[in-house]
Parts: sequence; structure tokens; C-alpha cells
Amino acid sequence: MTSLYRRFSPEEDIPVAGRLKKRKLLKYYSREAMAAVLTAGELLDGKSLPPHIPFYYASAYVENLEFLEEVFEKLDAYPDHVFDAQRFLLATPPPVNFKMMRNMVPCFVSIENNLTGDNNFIVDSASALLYAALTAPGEGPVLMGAGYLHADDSVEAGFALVNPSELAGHPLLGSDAPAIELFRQWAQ
Amino acid sequence: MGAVITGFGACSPLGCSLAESLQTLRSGEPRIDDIQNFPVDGYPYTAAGEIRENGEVVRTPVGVNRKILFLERSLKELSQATAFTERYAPSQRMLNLGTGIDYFELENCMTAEDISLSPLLGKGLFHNIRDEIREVATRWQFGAGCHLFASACTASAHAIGLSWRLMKRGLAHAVITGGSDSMISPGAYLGFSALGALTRSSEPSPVKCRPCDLHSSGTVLGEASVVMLMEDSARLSPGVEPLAEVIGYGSSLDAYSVTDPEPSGETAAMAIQEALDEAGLRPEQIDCIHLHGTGTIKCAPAEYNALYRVFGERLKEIPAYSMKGQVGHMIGSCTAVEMLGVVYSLQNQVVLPTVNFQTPHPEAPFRMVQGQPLHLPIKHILKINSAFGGHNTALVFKRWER
Repeated sequence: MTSLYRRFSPEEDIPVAGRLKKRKLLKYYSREAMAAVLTAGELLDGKSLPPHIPFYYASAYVENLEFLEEVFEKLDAYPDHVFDAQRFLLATPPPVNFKMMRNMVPCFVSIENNLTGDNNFIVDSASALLYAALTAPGEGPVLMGAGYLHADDSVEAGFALVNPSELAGHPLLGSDAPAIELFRQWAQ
Repeated sequence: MGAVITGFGACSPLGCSLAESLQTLRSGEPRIDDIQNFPVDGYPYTAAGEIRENGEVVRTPVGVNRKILFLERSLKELSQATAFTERYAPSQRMLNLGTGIDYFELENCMTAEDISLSPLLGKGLFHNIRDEIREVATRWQFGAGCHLFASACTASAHAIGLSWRLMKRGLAHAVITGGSDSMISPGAYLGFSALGALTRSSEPSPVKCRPCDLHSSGTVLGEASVVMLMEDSARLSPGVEPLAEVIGYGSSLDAYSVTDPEPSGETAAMAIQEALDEAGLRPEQIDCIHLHGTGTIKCAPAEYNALYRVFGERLKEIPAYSMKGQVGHMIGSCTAVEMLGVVYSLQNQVVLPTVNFQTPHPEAPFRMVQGQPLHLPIKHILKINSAFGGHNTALVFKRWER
């Protein structure tokens, strides 16, 4: 197994822009997406991956909804406090919608690394991530990843190239543990 | 061993039970209409497939998540139909569920004195789907795990596919799988509309969604919670007659665009081929295809190109069907609700007409069924779906034979 775990503090810059093939998508990136794309890229740098390697990613519960703050500020500016569709659409630029769509993070990772194989996108579960990897088709390694954007804007990301047989009987199978916990443990 | 589906719980625009759902499918009655669940003055789009009971749209009290309301009801029906809570100990029960986005009850937020994030989060108007579904899982004692998937329109396909793989490898005894999602709230509806996938048709709501039709112009959102019990065919209780057998699953990623499908169909074809390989089938053994068929402009040609890579010219002869013309697009639960169509086809040996399909699309010349149901021997069905984010899935189902 080869794994990489990164944690970025609240104010820390995540230097992902310089390595993007599709820089125009950066405006849709959450901090989780930045951390995930950077960490996956660093893990995979210089490695020759099997074609169509399976890729499974789990995103934690989104504690940080700061990207919605601006929307609420704009809605609050209308004194009548009545919900209005046109006001909402004006207050909500497209990047907000992409940040609500949680599977955008593995989408960006797949685009940057040309990952086209078997896949799954999991909500915050080490158990589901392990099961997805354990039952991957084929005999080769799989790419596993997880991200966790915290309320204070700090963010964790972990990626690993794993042979599924290494995961058999893992103690987090069936647990409620967040997926990032796997990568914290593997980093120790 | 084989993984078989032995029961359903269903809440969707088709109805609030399996029996009602199958009857509505048979009737072909459109279940898309003007939104009733909230006022739509000033909305750019106003059609949806909403869940009704006794003809009336089910309303949600303030603070209640529609995804959870309908999930509870469908689990109750499944429990009554299969007795899974009596037949399987909590440690043997696993929940694998596709679902959708977290959301604010925006219309109710607006009445607050302070419309800013922190105070609103404390008012119970933000629905965190992970925690709310885990509460349901705790009540129903899913002791073998509660696993949620959120790959947009393939979320429930991913849930069903992983469940099948777990059963096949002997890693699960009994899995309740499927999906629960609702886009029928102002924030979710308007947010999705901004992505440009909804129909701009000026036609009446019941005919707005036209899968695979030359005049398709976009999809219509809906809501559904459909759950099913997947069991090992070797351990069935006496008298249990499975509704379908799952025999193959594959998935792939486009790695192409955030919203558009990869137009050549190359990557989606990989998922289809993988599912056929897992099933041990040749393409000519597929009797009909249940499409993703959203009604968006780019969906049908991309689906056709993917299928053509696997089936070649025979694709033009294979009957094809999309349920979305009748009920709309359920996003995180769309494969789960479309499983009802798969079961209907297997049980009745028919391919249903696709509601609102009229004019073949030259870039997607599927053999869509029109008018009357097409009767033919159906042993194997291919079900495909795809999603924003580039996910593609394919599932193969077989008519149950002892």
C-alpha cells in the first residue's frame, strides 16, 4: 500500500492551481476539492497506473457551509424577508450549486488524473469505502480517497493505492467511522 | 449463490405502494404535473413528479425532510412485505442507499429575523442527510452497516451494484438497498434549474419530459423513495418467490466534464461491457434495455453511442424504454424507482411504451415502444444510468428461475 494524508489549516493556501490540466474548473472547487486534487496528484506523480484503475472516494459531512454565507447575505438585504425565486437565482452564482453537489470532488480528481474505471462516491463512511474497494472488479490495485472539510475551514485529504486483499477483515468494516479515519491511521 | 430481490417498498409519483406503482406503470398515466408542494410564482420551471396520496400531493411539515418521510414509509412497506426484521437479526441487516444533497428549507428560513448561516443552522431548517438517514438506520437496527452513496443520478445504481457485489462475495446476508431523494424543495429545485438540464418546453407539464425524442428539451425533476430486499437465493424462506435476480454490474467514469456526458460513449460502454462480462452474457442475450433516458438534449445520443459500441447494429432491434417521461428524474433514487419498471417487464414479459415519446431522434434511433406494450420473451434486461460528474452504471437482471 502507498498512501498520502494531508491536513491544511484554516488559513493555509492549497497550491493546486499550478498543477491543473483544466484550470477553468477551479472556480467550482471547494477547499475539499483543492485538497483532494492536490493530494491525489502528489500520490500519483510519476506512477504508471493500470488502465481503468478502480477509484472510490468518500466525502465527509460538509461541516463548512461558508460558500452559502454570501447567498444568505444577499437574501437578507431584501427587507420584506419573503422567499422569491428570482432573488434566489440572482443571489446564487453557479459555483455555489457545484459546491452543493458533493460528487464534484471525485469528478475533478478523475478529470485531472484520467480515471475512467469502476467507481463509487460514498458519504462519509470508512466501512462503505472499504467494502467498495474489497469488491472491486479485477485483480489489480485500487485508488481510494477521502476528504473532510471542517467547520473552521481546515481540510483533510487522504489517498491510497491499495491491493484490496490488504483490506480484508479491517476493523472499520461495519463501523460508523468517517472515511478519513482510514487515512489518518495509515499515515501513522 | 445468486442475489435476488424479494420485495419492495415504494413511494414515488407512481404511487405509495408496490402494487399501486405497478398499476400506474401499466396504465401509462402521466405523473408529472405543475408543482403543488410550494408556490412557484416567478419560477423559470414549474413541472415536477411529486408523490401523491389519494390524488393529493403529500405536503411536508416545517422541519421534516421529504427524503426521510418517504424512506420511513417505504421501509415500512418492505418490512410488511418481506418480514426482514423478523427473518434477519440486526447484525445481519445492512442498508446501502443512494441519496442526494443536503438542503435548507429556504422558504422557511426567510421568515427568520436573522437570515445568516449560523442562527439558521440551529433552527432545524438545514437537513443533513447523513445524520438523518443514520437515525432511520438506528431505528430499523441495521447492525451490519448504514452506507450512503451520493453520485447524483447514479447514486442508487452504485448502492444496488455494491450490494450485489457484497452478496456475491458472501460479505452480506441481507441488504436493503435502493434510493431516497427529493428535489422538490425551492432551493434544490432552483439550484438544479441553474445547471441548465431542465426542460424549457412550453407544453403542458404532463408532456414536458420526452426521453429519446427528437423534440426533447430537458428533464423534469421528481422525488422517490424505493427500497428493496436483496437476499441470497440459496437461503430463501419457503414460499418466497423472487421478483428478479441481479446477475451483473459495472461502472465507469467519463473523466470528461462536470455536467456533459462523454459524447462518443466510450467510457459508458466500458460499464455496460463490464456488467455483461460479470453476468457471463453475450450482447445478443439481452432482450430489452431500460435506459437512463432523461429527456435532456445530450443524454440520448451519448447513451446510443455507448450502447452501439457494445451491441452494434442489433441495437436498432432491441426494445428500449425510459420511465422518466411518466414520472420525471429522481436523481439520487432514479435507478431504484426504475427498478420497478425492470420488475414489471420481467414479471409481465412486456416492454412498456415510453410516455411522451413520439418522434425518433436521428442521433439516437432506439427502438422505443409506442402505443401498446410490446410482448416478448424477456429473460435478461440491461439497465443503464449516468450522472453529472461523469459516472456511468450498468446492471443486468434475470427473470427468476428455480
